[in-house]
Amino acid sequence: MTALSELTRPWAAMSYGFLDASAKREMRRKMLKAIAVPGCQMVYASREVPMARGWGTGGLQVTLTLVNPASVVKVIDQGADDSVNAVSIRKFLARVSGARETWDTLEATILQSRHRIPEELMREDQILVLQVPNPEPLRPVEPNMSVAREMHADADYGRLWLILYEQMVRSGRIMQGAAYPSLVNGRHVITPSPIPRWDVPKLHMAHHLTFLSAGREKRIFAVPPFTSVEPLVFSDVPYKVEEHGDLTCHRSGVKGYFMNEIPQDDGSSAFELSDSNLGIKAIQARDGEPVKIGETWYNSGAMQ
Amino acid sequence: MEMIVPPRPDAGETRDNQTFEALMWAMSRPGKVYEIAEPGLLSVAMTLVDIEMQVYCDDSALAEAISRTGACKAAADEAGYLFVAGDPMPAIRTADPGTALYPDNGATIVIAASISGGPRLQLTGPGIMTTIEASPDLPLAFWVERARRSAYPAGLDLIIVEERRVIALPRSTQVEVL
Repeated sequence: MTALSELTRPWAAMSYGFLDASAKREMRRKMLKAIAVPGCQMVYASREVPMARGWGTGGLQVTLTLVNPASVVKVIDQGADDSVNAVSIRKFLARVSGARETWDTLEATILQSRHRIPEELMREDQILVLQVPNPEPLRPVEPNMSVAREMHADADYGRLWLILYEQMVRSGRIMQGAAYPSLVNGRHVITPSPIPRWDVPKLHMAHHLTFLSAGREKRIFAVPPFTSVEPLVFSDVPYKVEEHGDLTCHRSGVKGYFMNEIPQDDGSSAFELSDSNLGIKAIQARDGEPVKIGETWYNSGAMQ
Repeated sequence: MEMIVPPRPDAGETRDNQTFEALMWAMSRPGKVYEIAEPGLLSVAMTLVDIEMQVYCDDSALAEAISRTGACKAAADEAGYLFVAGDPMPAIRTADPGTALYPDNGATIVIAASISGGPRLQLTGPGIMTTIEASPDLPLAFWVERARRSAYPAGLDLIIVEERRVIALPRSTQVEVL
């Protein structure tokens, strides 16, 4: 006989890390499956969190499942740690888990990000959690989810090349700016979330583990360490990242990284580092403060 | 001043979080050894399964303990998770590998076995920089059967547990018997 008391837990005001134990177990199962089949979208329940769908709930659920009191979390929104969305998510994570907050890529154990991968190299003990608005790379060519699933099963990705080809015919070059479709482990095409083309090579044979989670669309997929991530290209049209290598940040003076363009009154543009904490650290280093800047994926605008 | 006390995880939450982290890294880096929080298959079960899962277990005492998570007992070909304390051959022969259309239906087999002392295997695939060697104590026929039953992206994911030590071989890993 099982006593009722054995089946219940002591009363608590809130589950640790907000999500209840059952929600976490479901996330864990799906996260392991996502790693086992790199780039394959796994469906999950996507529980309610105190934030509107579409504002990073997918990433938040992954982070809430991973987090523990020893975790150090960094949350960025388009490269910035200080946007309202990033601050809200980071404060929430710290409040429900007791984890430490940081802005420094080198310190973080879990990095949740909207639309950027930090410029500093991520280590093998770090986890990148990307928030994904639309996880289905085939949606522009096949709105029917069931048919898209069959196309994934058949590795039938020809129509994605057709989009790229049409862009070349219309504009003379590939116009896909963000969410560049990429082939993972030679089998599944993913949308790497709307990161710029600049960031896609950082996923290829990386040392860190990446989860991509779409809360509104209820899909999760992963790129394990040392997994090939190849942007779709034509054999005679090489993959090109944004031409930001020669731009200089007008605040920190740093050159050779992905920049935000800031329109000026006279019609010209100023540029500033998109990875805002790298800019802050560069300014601190210039002012003689002891600050550690890690190795970066790009050096002088070229991928190493 | 903020008067909110940071929440503390209870013992179960700490154990499951730690075990999952080990399983996650083990899956991410096939063949590499990680340590789960408590020895044995039960802590893996506690971390992953509950009322939503169909579970097969070949050991009656362990099956009883696992059923307390709420998981339903199922036949080996219907279970999402198979916990194997004895002979691993029936599980690898019958577990559901899913289909290319639904790779998420592919089962996970959690095996209690020594992670060394078996045939030498060379592993390649995602999570492995070049190659890595492993030698879990499983018969040669097991690897033949695994190869026969996988048609990537369908396939079976393996977690091998020896006390607290754990290695994983997801279906994406290619196994070559040396």
